[in-house]
Amino acid sequence: MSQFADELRSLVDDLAASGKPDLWDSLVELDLPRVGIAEEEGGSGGSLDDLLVVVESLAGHGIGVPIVEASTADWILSHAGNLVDGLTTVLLLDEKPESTSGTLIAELTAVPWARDAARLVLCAPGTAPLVVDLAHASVTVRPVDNIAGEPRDTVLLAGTPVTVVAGAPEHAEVRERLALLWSAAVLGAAHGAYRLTRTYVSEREQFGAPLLRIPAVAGNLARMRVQLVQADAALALAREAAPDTGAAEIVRITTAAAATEIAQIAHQLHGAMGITEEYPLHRLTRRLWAWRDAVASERHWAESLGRRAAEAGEAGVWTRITATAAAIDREG
Amino acid sequence: MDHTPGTDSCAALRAQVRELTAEWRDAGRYTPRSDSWLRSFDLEFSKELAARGLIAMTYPEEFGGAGRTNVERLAVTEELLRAGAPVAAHWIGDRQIGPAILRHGTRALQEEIVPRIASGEAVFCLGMSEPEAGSDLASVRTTAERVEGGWLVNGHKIWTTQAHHATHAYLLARTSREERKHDGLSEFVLDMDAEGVSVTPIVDLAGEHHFNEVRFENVLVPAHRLIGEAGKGWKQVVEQLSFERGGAERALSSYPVFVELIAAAARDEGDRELHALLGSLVARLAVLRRLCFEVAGAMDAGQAPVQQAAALKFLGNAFEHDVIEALRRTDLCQDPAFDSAFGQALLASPAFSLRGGAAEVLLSLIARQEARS
Repeated sequence: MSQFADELRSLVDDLAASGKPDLWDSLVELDLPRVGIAEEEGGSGGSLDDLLVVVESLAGHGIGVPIVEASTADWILSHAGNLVDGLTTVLLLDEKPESTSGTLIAELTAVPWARDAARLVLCAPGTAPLVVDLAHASVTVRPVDNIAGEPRDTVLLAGTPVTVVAGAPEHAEVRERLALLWSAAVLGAAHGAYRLTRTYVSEREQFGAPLLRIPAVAGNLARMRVQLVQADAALALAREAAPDTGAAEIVRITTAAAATEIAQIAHQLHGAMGITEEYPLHRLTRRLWAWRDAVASERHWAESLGRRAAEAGEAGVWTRITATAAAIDREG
Repeated sequence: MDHTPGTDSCAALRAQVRELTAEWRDAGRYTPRSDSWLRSFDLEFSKELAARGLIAMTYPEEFGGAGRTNVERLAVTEELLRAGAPVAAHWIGDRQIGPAILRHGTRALQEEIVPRIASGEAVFCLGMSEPEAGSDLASVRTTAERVEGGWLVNGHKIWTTQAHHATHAYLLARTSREERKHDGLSEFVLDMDAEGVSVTPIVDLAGEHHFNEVRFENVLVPAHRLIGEAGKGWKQVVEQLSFERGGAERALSSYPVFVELIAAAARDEGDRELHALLGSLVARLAVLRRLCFEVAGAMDAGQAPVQQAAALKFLGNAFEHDVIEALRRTDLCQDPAFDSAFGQALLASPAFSLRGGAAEVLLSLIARQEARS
């Protein structure tokens, strides 16, 4: 667990409470997107665990900022020692893009925050990450929003020059890191939705008593809690797991399933109040709906884990989920 | 705090259990089945485990235990459940009665009972539920009246699993009438062969006999057989429930079906829907195991993680049900045989989310804690 967790949490809480419209600038000023990158590489030091705390805390306030993308892109670039100012975003591709003599022709969809970013890092299987200069004349960005109202733009590359990031982590490692970060974001928003709901049903009175006195309401609140217990445990498991043990799939599936149930119950218990623009619940639930399937859908992760399980057979599944990396090495 | 199993000692324990269960299975000495911790009774197997130090693992050595951690014990219990091994004879005594006596019993009671649980000689049944006190456990009417040299017990327990095999019973009884029904309860250990104890079978919907009714008519229980303090039994029993609810048997009762599901998904390479379903279940299982280890870790730290154990049991029972339902997505449930893995598990499944606290009651327990926090 992060030793700076409490400190980082209260830092984010204070920022959120300040109500600044330019919150992202404040985060950058504090170097928070570079937590988890070594200081000698231009980062803020700290660990991935610390970064997960930052991501989870921001999400808990329903704040949508490019923390996951920027921190991941900068982490990739830091391996090649070329961290620069300005926002860099990242996109995972399923297949290696066709490039000719260092240029790309492509239509990329759902590129997070492209309209605000100076650079884009592309990660595909079988190739080192590629950097695209989004300010280049050959680039067109068409704005598209996701259901949370966050930028997921279409980017057209017409012979755009790309540079290779040498010595950087490859697709699989980036995918796992993104899985962990998105899980933390989902978990944060789920906790936020829970806190809001618990307060609401404790204070809102109907039939002469707080809603919480209605057994069905109390039972639904307990269901939310049970989902949080499960999702918290999944993130704890994934934080400690060795790479490529299925932990990325496990935590994405678990947090996505929790997000689904928690968003649904949160709205049910809030009644009509929760559907207004003014009330803050939708800032959390819309993000839960968007983020639970970010980068890859719950269905995708589940199928991938299921296929691996079928290939491994019962003994393989059991060994993998009961053993640390060391024991896997011993038992093959 | 490292909750991950697979430290050297856990790995060695797992290997030991795998070897033993494989040996017994291959020799035809048992057939793996769902719900084996309640339904598969084999005293010989329990004694074999005891001889290898795989029962009473967390008890102090002076009482026949191995002085190991709850995390190490969990490595063993989950391997036994995975193998569908016949562990019903020692399960309840090992899981909750030994620990309860070690926490609250007198030295005399510890010396008398605990080593016999550790050796597999003492087989315990659990005298909690009554016809008028199921989920509402504090409503028990069985009484224990203080008399010369001990207590005189009268009353009636129901759903008492394996009472017909048991040498001893744990008993929750009322020792005084108080303002609050939660006060005035006490816990006892009594002999099943004592004068005045009678057992009547209750056959379940699968045609199996593991439930019973147990009646107590003027049964004399010696004074030292009281566990802890008279009248303070409620606090002790709630603590005991975290042992009862927080174990791997709350997620692995239908594991033999899960094994079949994995095999079916391997045969059906093109069935992406089935793979996705299996993937979700694997994820749930992995997280449930993590929760088991967190609960075991908390117990090692001397806590009684009531809410966590309740959440684990709620989630685990849902998983056990969903595993069985998932098998209906394969060809394995075309007219399933009565004693197939699917048939056995399905017919056992209504009990999953009832025993050890009904799902609704667990939710209300969690809800009460949420309202307070």
